[in-house]
Amino acid sequence: MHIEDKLICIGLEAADRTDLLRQMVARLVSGNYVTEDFLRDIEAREVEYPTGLRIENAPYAFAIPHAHSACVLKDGICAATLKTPIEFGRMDEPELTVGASIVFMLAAKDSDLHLELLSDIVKLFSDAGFAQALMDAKNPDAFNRRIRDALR
Amino acid sequence: MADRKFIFVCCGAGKLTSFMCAEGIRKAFRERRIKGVNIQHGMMGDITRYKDKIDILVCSTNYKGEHSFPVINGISYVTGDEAGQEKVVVQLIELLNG
Repeated sequence: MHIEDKLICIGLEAADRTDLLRQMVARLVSGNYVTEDFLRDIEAREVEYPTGLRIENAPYAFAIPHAHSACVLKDGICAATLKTPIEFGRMDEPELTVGASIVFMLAAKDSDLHLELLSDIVKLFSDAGFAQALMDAKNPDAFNRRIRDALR
Repeated sequence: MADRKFIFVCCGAGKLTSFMCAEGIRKAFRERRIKGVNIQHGMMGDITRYKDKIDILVCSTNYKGEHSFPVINGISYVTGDEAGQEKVVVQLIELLNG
């Protein structure tokens, strides 16, 4: 179980949250994971229930945009480390925002496999070294290796 | 099995954070050998559908709805806050026994 190389964006640059989500959805679309309308569902969900989170002591905040959507064709995760943080609403305090540097976008249809992987990844954020290791990854292979090592 | 309690765990999409939260509660209940409790995860939108069956509602995201059943915040299962998770479990057990 790992994230497909083509779905890992290292040092991504985006103008704002919408632009970031658009770029990540585009990756999922090109891999036939979702249809283009997935963006609309992800955005709507993000407005209603934001997914940004900073875990105490973690050097970087993250966001996990996802949606219950009929636009998902097959399960997958798109991941990105950002050159500059992008503001996301906070999951725990929706009125506040947090500048996320690491983003995992989940496209889940019915299997729990990716759900388990992503929930394991979120749990790893309590470890201060993990977020730093992901930010330091220079390529998709290193990014996956760091997740694998941390989960071992 | 009419008295089997039903804990509904929900988040916005009914996917990730409610899954994490429900898994965490199931594990805590297993460790304490608490049986006879049905724990399901789903969407905020499902609350209305289950409202006559729910004994306790746990929300893994911020939720301010008012219901006839108790509502507990389970965000600690997403943030990895172990003290917060312990509090949730203790609260659940008190409510189940109450």
